[in-house]
Amino acid sequence: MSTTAATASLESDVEQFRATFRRIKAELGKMMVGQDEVLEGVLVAFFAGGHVLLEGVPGLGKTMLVRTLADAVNLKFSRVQFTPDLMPADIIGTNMIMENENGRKEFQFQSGPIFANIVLADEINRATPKTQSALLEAMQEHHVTVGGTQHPLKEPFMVLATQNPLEMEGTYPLPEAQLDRFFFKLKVPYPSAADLHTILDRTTVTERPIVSKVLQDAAEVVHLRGVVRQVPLASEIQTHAIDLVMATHPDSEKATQRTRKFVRYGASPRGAQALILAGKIHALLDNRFHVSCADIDKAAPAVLRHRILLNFEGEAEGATTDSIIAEVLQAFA
Amino acid sequence: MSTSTNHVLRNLHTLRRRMYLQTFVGSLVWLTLVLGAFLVVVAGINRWFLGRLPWETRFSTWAAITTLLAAVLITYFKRLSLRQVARRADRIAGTNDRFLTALTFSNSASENMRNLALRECSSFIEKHNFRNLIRIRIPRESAWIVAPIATLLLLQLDARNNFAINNLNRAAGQREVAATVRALTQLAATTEKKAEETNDDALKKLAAKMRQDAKELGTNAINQDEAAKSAMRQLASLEQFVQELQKPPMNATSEELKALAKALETNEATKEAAAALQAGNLAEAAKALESAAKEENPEKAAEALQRALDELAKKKELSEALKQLSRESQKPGSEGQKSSDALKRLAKMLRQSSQSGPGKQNPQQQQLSKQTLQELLSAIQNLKYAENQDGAGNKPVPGKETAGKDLPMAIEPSGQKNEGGTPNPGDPRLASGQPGSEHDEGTTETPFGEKTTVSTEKPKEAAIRGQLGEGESLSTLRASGADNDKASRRYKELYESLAPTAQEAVMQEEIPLGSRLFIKRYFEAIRP
Repeated sequence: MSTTAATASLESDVEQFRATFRRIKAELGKMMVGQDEVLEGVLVAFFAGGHVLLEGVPGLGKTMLVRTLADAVNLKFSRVQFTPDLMPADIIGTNMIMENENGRKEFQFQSGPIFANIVLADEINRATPKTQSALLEAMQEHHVTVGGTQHPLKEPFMVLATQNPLEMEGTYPLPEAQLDRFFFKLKVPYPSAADLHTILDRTTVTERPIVSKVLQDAAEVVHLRGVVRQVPLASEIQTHAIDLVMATHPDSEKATQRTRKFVRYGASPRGAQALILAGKIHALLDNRFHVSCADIDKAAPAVLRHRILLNFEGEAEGATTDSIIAEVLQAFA
Repeated sequence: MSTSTNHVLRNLHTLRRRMYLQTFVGSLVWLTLVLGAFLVVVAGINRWFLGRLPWETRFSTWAAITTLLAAVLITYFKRLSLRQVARRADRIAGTNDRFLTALTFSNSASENMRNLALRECSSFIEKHNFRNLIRIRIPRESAWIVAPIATLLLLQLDARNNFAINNLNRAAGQREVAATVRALTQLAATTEKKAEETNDDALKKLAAKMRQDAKELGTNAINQDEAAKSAMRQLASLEQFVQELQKPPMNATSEELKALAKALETNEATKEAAAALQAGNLAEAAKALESAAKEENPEKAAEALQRALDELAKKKELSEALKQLSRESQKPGSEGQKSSDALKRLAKMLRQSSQSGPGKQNPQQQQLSKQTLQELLSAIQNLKYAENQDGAGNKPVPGKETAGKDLPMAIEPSGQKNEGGTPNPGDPRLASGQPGSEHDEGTTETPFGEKTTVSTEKPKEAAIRGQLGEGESLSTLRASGADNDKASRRYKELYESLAPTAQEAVMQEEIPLGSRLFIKRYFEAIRP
């Protein structure tokens, strides 16, 4: 293929990506009203190949969002309601003694709900750390190991976890290692009065919105993810992303004043990866073929907010990771 | 490289030039402010410490050139790479890093996506005009330049005004001392002439000092008051100098010198000096004494000298110089140092005597030198008196010849007579202007005139014989000179002999502060 043809093909792939993204977002918008940022965040993470932690009070449509996404992208969806008595095997699956065709009994792996393309881990912080950590391997390696045998997960694989920030009693906060595996942490805000009107209009009538399937199969998603990763960026832009991550470390010379005062641990290299990937998608959505600092900055809050751990002073002073990120962004503007 | 990429680069170069210009303008404004502050400081120093006009055009020109060069240097050191320019342009224009991306990928756009990115960035930049993105603005702070300019202007005006007043004062001061300067210059000329006639080095030195003093007087006359004070100071200094010269280096008689030689003979170290003294070679004796003083133990020689002085003192009145030497030898101090000093002083006296002795000048010349010094002293004292009178209110009136302004006449007599018989203030014909001086020198036609003859007629003596107690006694009455009579002894000599005693008495007494001035005035008043 000649260079011109290859460029034209790539251009068409990019156009396809933009169109697909917008169509899926529009389909999600049918069910989720007034949550544009959340919808865009979920889709960015979806095309970047990451997982999303949704945080919001009950009744804001988090579960609905995930279900709608699965419908729109035409992928297999499963939901796991996390409770304190939930065991890892309940998620991953287990080996069971089964009778084969010859009448002999043998161990057969019975897959758990994790074997889906889109997994909703509802109220993830209600399960014990042991169960929470069962997700670690699946989220990072995209396979699970049971009885010494690795069982690969189907691509694309995405975990969307939700947690309620209010009811903290009887919950188990996610460990840092688990949090770091989430591409984005998105806060689901309470809808405005106008949005509520729309929600009520749509949900209290006989007819319910029908979600169309935008994608045909999983391979299309994998292809579009490949397109995203081709977006180039100048070394200065990459430096900017690194600067932002370094600025969240209290011991770094680039740390801001509040970082030094309130932060215990800063973002990991996964954070920098997430910034770049999210930046690439933002660039494509902005009709550009290159990443800019603005794209990185736009992704920074969702990427970094769960990767920054506040120290005791920060907690006592009521500092938030968002305020620290805002200061970091201002420092490197 | 494509046309669109060239367009991006052209844009970046244009922006860089404008950024340099902006940096230059900004630096220049800041440096000008610093320069302004610096010039104000320099102006202050010129005005108050160096007494010059605050504004110096040459210095200021150089400072301005330096500022300009500094601005150029700052701009040079703040030069930017194209990548930096691209980043700045992106930030200012909000182009989402298109300049930077285009610049980055212009050299390595091998991948398809990079090609797409480069094409998109270049076309975006081409569509917009970024040449005027960097506007050349003069910083707001430039308004502050008014402050140093105004300050400099005010300082300059104030200084000009002040200096004009000072110049007037200086001119008045110069006028005030002009007569004294002229008189001193003429005195110096006359003294030089006399010094050549008499072959006297001391007079030459005095003439040189007079010239120097005349010069300083002109320089120090910054205003009328200061000029008068300065004139008084210079004249007093000259007077003291002349008086010092008048003092005979050593009035030792041949008898004293012999006794001294005998005393010095007793010591091995000073034997050579004694022999020279016996032979009348004072210079040689001085040399030998100086070498004796340098030896490790000059105490013995000093003791012998002290003994000789004591012996002489018992026999008869010592000469003033030897008395002084004796007194100073008895002052407390370390033994070694004291002995060495005593010998050195004696050597100095002997050397002075030898220099002024018959070896260099004949008796006539000596007499002439002595007379010249006396005349000079009178002239200086007259000048002092004239200055004093002027200071007391008899200021010379321009256009009117006053007595003080006629001082040169003292050196070149014009033949004017003092009609009233009462000397005018500063009249050079007045002997010294000091109380009592007319009694010892008398009034003469000129300050260098002939000394009035002191009456040689001895007063009558009356001897009264009487019986007091068991033995016979004889009282002798000696009649002193009356008020209008001439003193048989020079007042000056009498004053000099009594002055040290009086001074010691004054030093030892605890005199109240308020009274010190009166005592000082008293002694000033009776000073010859």
